[in-house]
Amino acid sequence: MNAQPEPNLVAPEEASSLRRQSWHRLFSFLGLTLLGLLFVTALSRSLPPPPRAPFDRRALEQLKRLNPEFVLIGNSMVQTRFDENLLRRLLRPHRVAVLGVSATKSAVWYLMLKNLVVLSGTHPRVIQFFRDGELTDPRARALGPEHIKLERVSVDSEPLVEGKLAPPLREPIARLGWFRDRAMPFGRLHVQTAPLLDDVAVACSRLLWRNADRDVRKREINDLFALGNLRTAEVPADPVVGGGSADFKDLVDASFLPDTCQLAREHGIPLTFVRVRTRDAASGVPDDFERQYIADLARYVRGCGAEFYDMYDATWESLDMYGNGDHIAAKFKYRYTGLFVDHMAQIFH
Amino acid sequence: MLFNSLDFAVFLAVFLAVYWSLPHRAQNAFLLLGSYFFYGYVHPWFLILLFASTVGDYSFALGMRRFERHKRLLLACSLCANLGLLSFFKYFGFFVDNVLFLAQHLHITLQRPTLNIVLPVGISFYTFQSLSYTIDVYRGRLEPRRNFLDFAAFLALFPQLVAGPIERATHVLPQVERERHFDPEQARLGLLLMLWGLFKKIVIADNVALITNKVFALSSPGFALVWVGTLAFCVQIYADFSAYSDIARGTARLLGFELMKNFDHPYLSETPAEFWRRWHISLSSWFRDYVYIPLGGNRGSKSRVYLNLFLTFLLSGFWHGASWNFVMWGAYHGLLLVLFRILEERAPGLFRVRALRPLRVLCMFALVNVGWLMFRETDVHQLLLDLSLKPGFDTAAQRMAAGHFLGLIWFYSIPLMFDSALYLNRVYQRARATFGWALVEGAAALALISMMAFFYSEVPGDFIYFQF
Repeated sequence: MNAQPEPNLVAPEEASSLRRQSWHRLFSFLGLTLLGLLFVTALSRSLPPPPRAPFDRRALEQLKRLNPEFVLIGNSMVQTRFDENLLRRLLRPHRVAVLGVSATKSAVWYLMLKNLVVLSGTHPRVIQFFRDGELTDPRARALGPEHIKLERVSVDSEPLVEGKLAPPLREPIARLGWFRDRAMPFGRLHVQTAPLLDDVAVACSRLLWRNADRDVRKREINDLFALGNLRTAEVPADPVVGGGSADFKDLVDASFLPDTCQLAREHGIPLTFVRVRTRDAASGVPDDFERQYIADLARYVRGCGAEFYDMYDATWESLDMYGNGDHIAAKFKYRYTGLFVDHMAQIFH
Repeated sequence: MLFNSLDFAVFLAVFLAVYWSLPHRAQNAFLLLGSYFFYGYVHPWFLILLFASTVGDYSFALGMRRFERHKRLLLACSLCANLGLLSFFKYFGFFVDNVLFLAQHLHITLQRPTLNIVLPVGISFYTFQSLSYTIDVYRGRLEPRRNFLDFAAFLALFPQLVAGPIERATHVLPQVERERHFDPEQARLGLLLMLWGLFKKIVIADNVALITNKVFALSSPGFALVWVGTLAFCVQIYADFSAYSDIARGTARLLGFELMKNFDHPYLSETPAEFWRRWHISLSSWFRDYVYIPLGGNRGSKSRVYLNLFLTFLLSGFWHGASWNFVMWGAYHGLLLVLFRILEERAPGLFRVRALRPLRVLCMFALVNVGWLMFRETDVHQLLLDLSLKPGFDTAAQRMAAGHFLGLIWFYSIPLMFDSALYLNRVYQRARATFGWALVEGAAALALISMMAFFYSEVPGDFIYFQF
């Protein structure tokens, strides 16, 4: 069934005029679209960049005061796994500090080492907890709205970190996006919408709960969504990126690993890396690619003089201890801390 | 490749520049090449399945013409191949889980197979599209195509490959075969559709998704929050899926293709039947033509018709995902259709009084939301808990959060409500036909871009229907 061309019912002059009109419409549409883009670009560039979040000195002061022998660094994998008070009690007379900040990745962990541990003048063993490919993914959870977490552990501008956050040349599209975000800083416009959205939400919230004070409301809502109130659910872990040993060198070069190792060496800080067990591992799903990656990673960090522990096979950590994603459920946190100290005692030497 | 990514913007710009500089035959070859690049961008191995499906159905259809006597067998082969592929990749895990569950209850010890199957994106969409081709050839509604390139380009047409609209060969194949010339009018309308789609995705769907995800991550959300979360999902899924369809149709127009409309203001429906004429139109019409009618459709006794309706929607629910909640969702909509049909027969006056229209729309909207709760809550145990929640037992924090989220949902829904108001306004419908309307559309584009720059979501997400 071949398609037949439709008969042309319009006179040639009329058709040509209609076509001209269509082109005019298209160009006026494109012109207005471009104008819109130029307008918002100019508007966003005219606004000052949002102020940087101030450096959190409290953590630094606490470290100085405590002068710990062990510092645990990581994200919610540390936060949900260790009860700090119990850990301190179990490791006594050793002093221990836990720097677990949820939703952080390697960029923040490097800055924690540089601006908290090193600046505190203490020389503890730093135990870095991570999941799967987190150590070689420098841009993870460090860009856009999450940049604020870096600012909180940055004393000043951090050229090394900012440089590594730019996508490498071998990722031209990502690099183009990076330049676009610099040329069109729409984030500055976006920040302006927060008070409006908050007002809308407060107005509606008052309809249902009249006595809601703005700060009380925020605090109560935040408490409601605390990690402990979340469902026990499987959340996909970050995949390991790259492929094969040849790519591994590129991955490491682009990451904060060499800088972390060098910084630790320069300041006489012993390093330990611990790969935490995840749901995938606990469910017994093997992955050859990941195994190769972890072997390469272990070789690299040991080559830097650091210790490496892989908890993939830590069978004492059972699946029923998991809460949301790879977190340990709040009710097992205490038990987990004890089990960890029992089974991983060799870390605390 | 995601429509809302820079990768796609760069790909489309380069693709269009080359595409429109080529003659028709080369255009089709380039279209196929571009579509395969688009589809295999992240997981190249997905292409093997798409290619296998293409070769299979191309051969089966040609075979039906050549071996008329065996065309029934060839159709069966096509059905088995397509549905077999779909079943293996989409339903294998579900099947295994249920067998293991059953075995556990019968105290039989079975070993879980260590097969880790990844669901290829868009497989549900292109297998249905491909099936419609072989079925139409079998029914004699369509001539089998000899030109493999044209057929492959039709099946892989990148704007609609991953999440529809599920096109029919009778509609798109002639467009592939026809010579296409750049039409500035179509290009303008296509760009406007794409912009509206992007706006719905980036500003509405992705922002409201944050609320949905928060609420459905709570272990005990309470009555108010569950239903506010469901309302958020109701807005999210419409904005998300209709956005994908709009961008797909807009992109197709830039390539000189016209794809079918997939959404037509579904939340203005008064009955379930109307809802399904307005929601995911390409899928509902597919099930109507290839499942409901072959089952007997409206022929036969009333109870037979009701059964046909119910079975069709049960299957439609199962198509959405390999999980019991989707089956429940499909059954729920099947039941709604049957109940409304009975109601329309017994009390037709209820559906004719004009003054009751807002009430009917509101009632239908509430019923659709109950369905969305089943759709969103993938854990059946949790779903039953949610449905059993009673009002009045919420904590202060839960009520505050519900109010807070309700305000945000209302705010982000304003453009959708405005769109519906325009749709219902006859003056607007007439104004669309005038020349000056192009300028209004340009101004709308300017406004959409400005609003995207202010209100974009900082957490972009995948399109919901990618998972199906």
